[in-house]
Amino acid sequence: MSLINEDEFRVCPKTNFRVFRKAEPLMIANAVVAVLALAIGGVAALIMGIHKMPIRFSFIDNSTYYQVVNIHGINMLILWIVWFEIAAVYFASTAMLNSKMASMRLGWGAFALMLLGTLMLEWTIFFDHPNSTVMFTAYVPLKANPFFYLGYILFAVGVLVAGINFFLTIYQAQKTKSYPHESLPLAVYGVFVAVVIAVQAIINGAIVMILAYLYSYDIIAAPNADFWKQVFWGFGHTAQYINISATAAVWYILINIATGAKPLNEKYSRFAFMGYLLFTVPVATHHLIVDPAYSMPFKLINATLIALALAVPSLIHAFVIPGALERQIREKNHSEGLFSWLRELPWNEPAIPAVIWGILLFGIGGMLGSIQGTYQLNMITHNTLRINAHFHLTVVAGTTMAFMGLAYYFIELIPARKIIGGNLKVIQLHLFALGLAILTLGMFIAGVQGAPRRTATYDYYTSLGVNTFAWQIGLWLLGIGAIITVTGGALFVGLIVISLFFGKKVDKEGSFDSPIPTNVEEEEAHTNKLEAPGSMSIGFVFMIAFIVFYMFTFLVLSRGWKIGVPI
Amino acid sequence: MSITNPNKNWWKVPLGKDEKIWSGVIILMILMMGSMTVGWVFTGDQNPPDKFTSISNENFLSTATSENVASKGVFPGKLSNGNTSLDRFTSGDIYLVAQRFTWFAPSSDLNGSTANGVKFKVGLTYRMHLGSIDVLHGFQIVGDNWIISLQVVPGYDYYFDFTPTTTGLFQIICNEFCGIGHHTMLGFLEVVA
Repeated sequence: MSLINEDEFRVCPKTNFRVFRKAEPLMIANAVVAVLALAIGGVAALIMGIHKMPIRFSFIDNSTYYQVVNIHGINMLILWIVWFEIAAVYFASTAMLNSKMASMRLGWGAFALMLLGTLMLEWTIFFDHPNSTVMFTAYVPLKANPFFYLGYILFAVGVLVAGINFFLTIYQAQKTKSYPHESLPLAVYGVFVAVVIAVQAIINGAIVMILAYLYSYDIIAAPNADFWKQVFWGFGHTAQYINISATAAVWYILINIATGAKPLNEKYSRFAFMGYLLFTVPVATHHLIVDPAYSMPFKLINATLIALALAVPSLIHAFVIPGALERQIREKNHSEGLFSWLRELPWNEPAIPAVIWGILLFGIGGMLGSIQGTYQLNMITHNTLRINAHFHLTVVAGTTMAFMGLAYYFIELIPARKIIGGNLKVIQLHLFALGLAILTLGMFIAGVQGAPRRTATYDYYTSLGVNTFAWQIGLWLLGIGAIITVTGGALFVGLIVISLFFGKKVDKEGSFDSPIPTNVEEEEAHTNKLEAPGSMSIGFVFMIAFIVFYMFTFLVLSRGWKIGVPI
Repeated sequence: MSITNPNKNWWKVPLGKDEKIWSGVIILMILMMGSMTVGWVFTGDQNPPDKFTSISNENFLSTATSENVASKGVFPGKLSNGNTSLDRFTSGDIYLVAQRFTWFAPSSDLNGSTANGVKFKVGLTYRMHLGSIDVLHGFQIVGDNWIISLQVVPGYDYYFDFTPTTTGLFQIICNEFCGIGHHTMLGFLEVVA
């Protein structure tokens, strides 16, 4: 057994995990910056949603719109998610393994680097418009303020340092046997995979951002635009698999906290995490299917065929997690109906709406993504608002909602404050999910008819004869959805911030007499019956919808002009 | 458990019936999607182009200007909305250039000015050359009930064969953020009978 210095640790009275005291302020600091970024990105989202609505009561001009898109993208996709992930990474490697952090100095060093990078990014995108309005993607030869790229680089180096600290902490926990088995807990394993993918993403990101930094000072000529784009997405899209690995890990944590559900099969879930690691490498090519620089076999194999393999892990998690909930509820309540377990889930726990809505919307987003990543279908989807529908469903409904769910438990476990507002936290998640559903439906409706993304207004197109009338219902939904989602998001920020400072303090100090939490070995009863028939039925419906949708999109494609000669 | 250690010998626990069925469904799904997309490459009429020449921005512009000429079958004309165009009524090459914030067809026949659009005859097969002379742009034709979206990248002459099968005046928009005038970037493509 491990030797725990009782001054350096406290025992969490709820979970009996040994929490390393010095790591707590670091986790809280990372999470606080994350929530601040979420708040900034949320204000930007509201402004964008209102500006996009086909009625002119927007209070910004078209030029400022692009600045707001830039602020929204960088704050949400990079700052909110990565800052929160770093907090979660520390939580998984210390608290969940009852371990010390390998180095507090590295931890705070990473924090300082990331904060410096964050401030540089914020400074350039807020005060250097339009010069630094180059978007999250920043494709060269667009040229921003050098500090924009330097901010990106410092932030990435900070994340890398945090990642090294994570690996060292895992190593130390293994060596000191601070947790009672050789295999990592499933959720920590998922986070581990996420950090390995992060290292790969950061290397790609560092290459392009250093090139762009040198280019912004005119030290080198503009790098080849498609090479830059390819390597950029080696960071940009790879990073989304950090997010989904972390999200799936959080889903496993949440269902376990709320109901005690275990994965249907440990090996199956671990295989799924490993799948993300193996198949992520060529994912950047998604973004180059309709680009000149690469040949058909390269694009077809990397962007479409290997990407199909990448759908496997997500499809596994999306079945196993509701399946685990179903099995748990069936065992506990002896529910017989096909879907009665859904009603019997503890819906008063924030974990349940975060996971159920998350998986449902993430599944639809994944479906859209698979269609867009299909070699031919990309030609009718690339850079339309459909793309935004895809990643708002995966990254916002999936990742952000999972993180919101986790944050409610985090506040009660680490700073040990009670979340104010009673059931408001559950209502918040429902509101957020509902808003997202409307928002992404609007994006899809407008995008499928050709509305391009990242475009301030379509008025100019209309005046020159593009029929944008049919886009408008989509744009209305987009605006209304954005308003509802941001209301839900604002409620989250409010609940978290107020609870953190003014929430009722809850008991922090448990007793060292209570044992370190460990798994209770249960012999699995072998049965020939399905364990999760309800989830399986929903899964079948989902797959049939997927096939119909996929084939229908090919039908739409076939109506267009002949283009690209068949070989 | 997902937040504590797994069962001992977890890797020896065989997959249950649920997992086996679901894996089968996933594999079927992927095979179906994979064969559809590969099959379409060999038999379908709509595939993303993958032909290009690496070329500097200046050379692309001068090539376009000297190729879009009467002696090669491209003639100055007018679009139905009154804008100038370059017309091609025989199969062959045509060049279109993207620059912040406009699409244009240059030609040495136009004495220094450029055309806002291009005009084709329905049913003929053309070879379109796309290039950008500054930053990345997105070439998107908004059709009646279909779209074509291709990326235009500086440093490349991206060319592809296409056959317009419907007539009408179509707008070419830019769908890649290229600067704060991005939403004003428009060109035209007309197909006549």
